Amino acid sequence: MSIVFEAKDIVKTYKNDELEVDVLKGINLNITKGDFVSIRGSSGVGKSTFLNILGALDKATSGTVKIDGVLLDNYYKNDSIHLYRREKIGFVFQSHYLMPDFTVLENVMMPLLILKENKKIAEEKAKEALKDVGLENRIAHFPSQISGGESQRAAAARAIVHTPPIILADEPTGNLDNKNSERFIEIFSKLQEQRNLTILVVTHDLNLADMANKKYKMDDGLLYDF
Amino acid sequence: MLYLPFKIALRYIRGRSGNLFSVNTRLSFAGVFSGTSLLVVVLAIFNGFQDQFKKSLFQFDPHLIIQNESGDRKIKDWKNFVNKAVDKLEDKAAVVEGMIQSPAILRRYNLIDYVFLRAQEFQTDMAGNYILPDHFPEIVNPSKLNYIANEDVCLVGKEMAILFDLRVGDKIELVVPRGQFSLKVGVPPSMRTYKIAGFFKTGYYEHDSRLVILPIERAQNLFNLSSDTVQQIVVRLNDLKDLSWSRDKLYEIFKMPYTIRTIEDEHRNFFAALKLEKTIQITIVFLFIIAAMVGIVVATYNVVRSKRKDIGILKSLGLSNGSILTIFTINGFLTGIFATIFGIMFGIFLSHNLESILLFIEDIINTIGEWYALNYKPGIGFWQKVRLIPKNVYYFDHLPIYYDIEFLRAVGFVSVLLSGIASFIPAWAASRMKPIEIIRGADS
Repeated sequence: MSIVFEAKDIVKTYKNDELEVDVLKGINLNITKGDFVSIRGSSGVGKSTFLNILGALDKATSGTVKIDGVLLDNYYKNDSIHLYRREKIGFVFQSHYLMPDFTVLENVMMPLLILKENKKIAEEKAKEALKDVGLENRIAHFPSQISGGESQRAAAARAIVHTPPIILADEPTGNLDNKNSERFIEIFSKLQEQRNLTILVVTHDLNLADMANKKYKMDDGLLYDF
Repeated sequence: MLYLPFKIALRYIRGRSGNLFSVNTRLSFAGVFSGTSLLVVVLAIFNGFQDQFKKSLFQFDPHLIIQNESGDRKIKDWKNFVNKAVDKLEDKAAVVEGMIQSPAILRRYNLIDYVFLRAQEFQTDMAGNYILPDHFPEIVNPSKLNYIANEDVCLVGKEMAILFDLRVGDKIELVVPRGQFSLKVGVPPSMRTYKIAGFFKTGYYEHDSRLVILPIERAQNLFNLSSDTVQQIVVRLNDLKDLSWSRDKLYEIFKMPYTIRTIEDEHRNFFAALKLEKTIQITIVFLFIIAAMVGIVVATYNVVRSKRKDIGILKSLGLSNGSILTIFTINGFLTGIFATIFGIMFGIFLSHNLESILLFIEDIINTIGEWYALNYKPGIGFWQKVRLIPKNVYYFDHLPIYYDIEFLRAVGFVSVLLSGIASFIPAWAASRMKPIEIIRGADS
């Protein structure tokens, strides 16, 4: 199986005046296509920081990230980091982060429109993704008109709609109650199988973490098999 | 591709479904709209006043006045000078003629007051009647007066008719100094009676209340001048832009002891006031520009602040800094364009109806004042009618409104341009935001 994602010796140090905090102390992780990887760990161990570095929302102090064989640093050097985020990553955050002025359908179409996809095709693909997450009846609703669980499923649809090489999910069930959390996990798992998605999820949720075929635990800035 | 930034910007302007415009859009729209419309109203009135003053002055008063400053101060063989001046000024001059101007005393029964006498050339028709020249001011009574009888007649301003209770056909006596001053007799007066043929209106209160116009031959009789003698030669130009050029040309004919004064020399204070008004106009425009800019910057910053989370999401989805910049620039720019267009339209509407609005306000104030005076009796003379545009001060039948289209276009252009620039500043700040900071901020 080909390696989709390769993180090598990732170090992240936060400097605040004279204080230096090493959040990540040299993390190595390889993800192959179709992997469902989960990282667990207590709050503040650096899970989200690691995810943000992989998603190019934050920069590592040192270390390299490769996706599809291309160094993330090259995107930074070419001032084209937006292309990396656009083409290579699908994000699901703890909060759904749907844009309140746009309908659910428009929110899901957004990554495709950013990729300059034809509007009709984007609409079709978005409708399909929303159908996959069980929101086909909610396409014309605004985020304020749907529940938290539905919003998070819409966010999942937005992350997968443009079929990126990897989906990064940061505590996707963190804001959901048990019932909605189970439903989300069920749908997420189905999506992964149906679409052969590559997923990296950081979570406290044991149910979600247990679904992964590769499970890790992060502690004191380092990653361990679990 | 501007499709997506445009779509997002328009949505931010429109707001969520059910709203006509977002609150931020309404605020920035209101700022630019009110600024532009008020500016249009202020400028329309400023320009209207200026235009009215200029028209009343330039249409009637001579643009160049040539005088003899030596001896008896008369110009003899004036027609010869007129012909020379016409040749010299080519097609720049509309009228070159002889003129007599002098202060005079008006007497009617026991009423005596000062007036200003002006005598100019009137052509005569086949029957010998005087024909009113094209550049003569509007005759308000009798209307459609084209000619007057070839006798001792005069025309007076309509305000003078009110001041001295004059009617068409009334006779007035004019008294002027005649001849040279001598220690023995002082200045001998010359007196003559003239029939009022009509009332004119120049729109300039000083003229309309004090000026008496006579055919030049009649004035020559009054002043005891021969028919080839006048006091001045005056020139009216087709275009006032040629004023300096024409004066220089006339100096080639009229050397010392002749002097040439322009209309600007004659009304130096008036032109200084006009210049001051222009400066005020520019200051107002400048203040408006600053206010509009601050308004748009604040409004767009508000939009950026309220859309911080969206910016984080869009950036995490891969939207470029340039597109973020475009979204918020378009946002302010489009709001600016619409607000400017509607502001100008409303400003034009408002200034056209300003007089009725002012009269309405005047009525309300007067009704309240009269009601208060009637019911509470605070004392005699407590309440005097309010006139927001006192006619005796401004002397206009109506509130003069004039649009300088070029100026309106410039206001529109500057306003739209500034909307773009003003929205660019916060838009640029939005484009530099780091998505991780926004997302962390939103989570915390």
